[in-house]
Amino acid sequence: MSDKQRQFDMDEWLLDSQLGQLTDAQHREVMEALRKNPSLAERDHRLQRLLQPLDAFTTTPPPNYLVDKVLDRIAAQNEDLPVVPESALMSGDDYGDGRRSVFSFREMLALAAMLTFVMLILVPGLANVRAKSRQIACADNLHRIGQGVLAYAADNTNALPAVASAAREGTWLRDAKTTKPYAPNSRGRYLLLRLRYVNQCDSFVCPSHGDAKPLAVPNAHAFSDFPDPANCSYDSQNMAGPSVRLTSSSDLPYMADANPLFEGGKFHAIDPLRSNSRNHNGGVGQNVLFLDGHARWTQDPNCGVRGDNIWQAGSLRHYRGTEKPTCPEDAFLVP
Amino acid sequence: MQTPTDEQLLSDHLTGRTDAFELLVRRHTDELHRFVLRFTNSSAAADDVVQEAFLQAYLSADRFDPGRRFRPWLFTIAANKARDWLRSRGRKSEVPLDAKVDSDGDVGKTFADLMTGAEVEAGAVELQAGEQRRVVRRIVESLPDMFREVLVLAYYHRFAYREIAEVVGVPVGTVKSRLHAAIGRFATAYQEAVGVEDGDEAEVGRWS
Repeated sequence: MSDKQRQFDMDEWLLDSQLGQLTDAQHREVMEALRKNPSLAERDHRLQRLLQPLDAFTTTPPPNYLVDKVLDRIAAQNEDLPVVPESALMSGDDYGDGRRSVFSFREMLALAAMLTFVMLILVPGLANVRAKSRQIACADNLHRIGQGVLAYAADNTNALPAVASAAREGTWLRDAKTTKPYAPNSRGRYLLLRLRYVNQCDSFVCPSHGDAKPLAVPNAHAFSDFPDPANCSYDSQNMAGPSVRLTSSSDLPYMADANPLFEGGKFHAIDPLRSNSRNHNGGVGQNVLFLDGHARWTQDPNCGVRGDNIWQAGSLRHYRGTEKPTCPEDAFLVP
Repeated sequence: MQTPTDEQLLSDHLTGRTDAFELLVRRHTDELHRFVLRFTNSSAAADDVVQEAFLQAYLSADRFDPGRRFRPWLFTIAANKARDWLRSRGRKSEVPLDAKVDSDGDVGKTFADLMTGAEVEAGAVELQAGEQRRVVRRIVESLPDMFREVLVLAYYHRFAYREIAEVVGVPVGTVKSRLHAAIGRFATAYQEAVGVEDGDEAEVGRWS
């Protein structure tokens, strides 16, 4: 065996040792060799330094609901399907080799007739089921964004994504009647996509919002904001106001379905206390993401800290696009 | 009382113990999620793949070979689904043509070069924890899928080589070659990201 080959074998052995691939006896042998051979110990040290940065790639734990979701799907599977071997499902009628179809042709016809009958009864309710499923998908979107916000804050000393310097000097309302420059609050949300804290563009699109469409460009990092307002159907805390960090009140609403007061980039003089986002069926309620990372459906827009309304700054009723939250606990979700 | 093994729980499940599979789900969700999250770099995909993997394991439990171990079997299912997801997203899993590794595993040069290179951390800029996490995550994400998969299974989940071979569906030698290549590429990219002194750059360049 050449020296080079022997050296390579030793290196491989060191790697195996670092990765826990050796038996206890083999590991002891390596330790002994390292003790006796300084140059080998040096190589081992080099390898450790090579691998060490990998430890920085930590991950967030799975969402609390994941186990329940798995168990729900398994339970649903048990309810929906007859327990039959897969091989039987794949076979046709009796082939003479012991396999037999689960259903005969006559049974299939009866089943089809029954399904048609059941569908006729259920169709009126299906619209509601679909709306409910879109609500849940929308809450999932916000939850995913929430995970991105938590990761962003973890990397940035608890700061929330924002491009605050521009927003402080401009207006966050697209069609504001002011000469101040347009500085959309959505730039903060876009940082999550740009810096890949949220990887899927469709996470920013509420499935109930008919006009919304996910950002469809391969290079999201090249932009500084959603190119089209339709790319994001959620509004978030106006970051131009008092500093809000992850360590602020955990029940502060951070993001939600679009604020109905500023739909289409214009101010609409409607009652914020009684208005829901129009994302879902024209205004039946909204999903709200809170700073602790949880998202929930509510039909009450007064769901902020101590009953604070999430659409308005303080108790203001008229807006020009330069208004800001009145205090760190004042939720004011804007486009 | 001794904690039942995964294989015992699966056997109990097949003989009608109603909570046995739930215990398996609770036992493995966290680790499986971390694996898929690092492999796909998408929390949404991780959520979906974990659900699909457990569901398929549940439906296929009667075909589990009792002579095998449950954990690699479950990871095999999840890895297949994660690969499908990556493919559906247009991710390339092929190794670029200029890669210094062949599919049969002869990557001696890569690993040897890596180990005989200059002091790896010389001249490197110290990174803040958050910045380092971001850099490492991006580098791992940029590795070809086949390298990243093996690296994640070996480094973060401490699978034995033969178990990784089972999960990935390749010979043990190929697992090792992919792992060596993955480490070489990671080290090179990391050094480039944090900066190395001129004299070391040539050495680092030989690693990949």
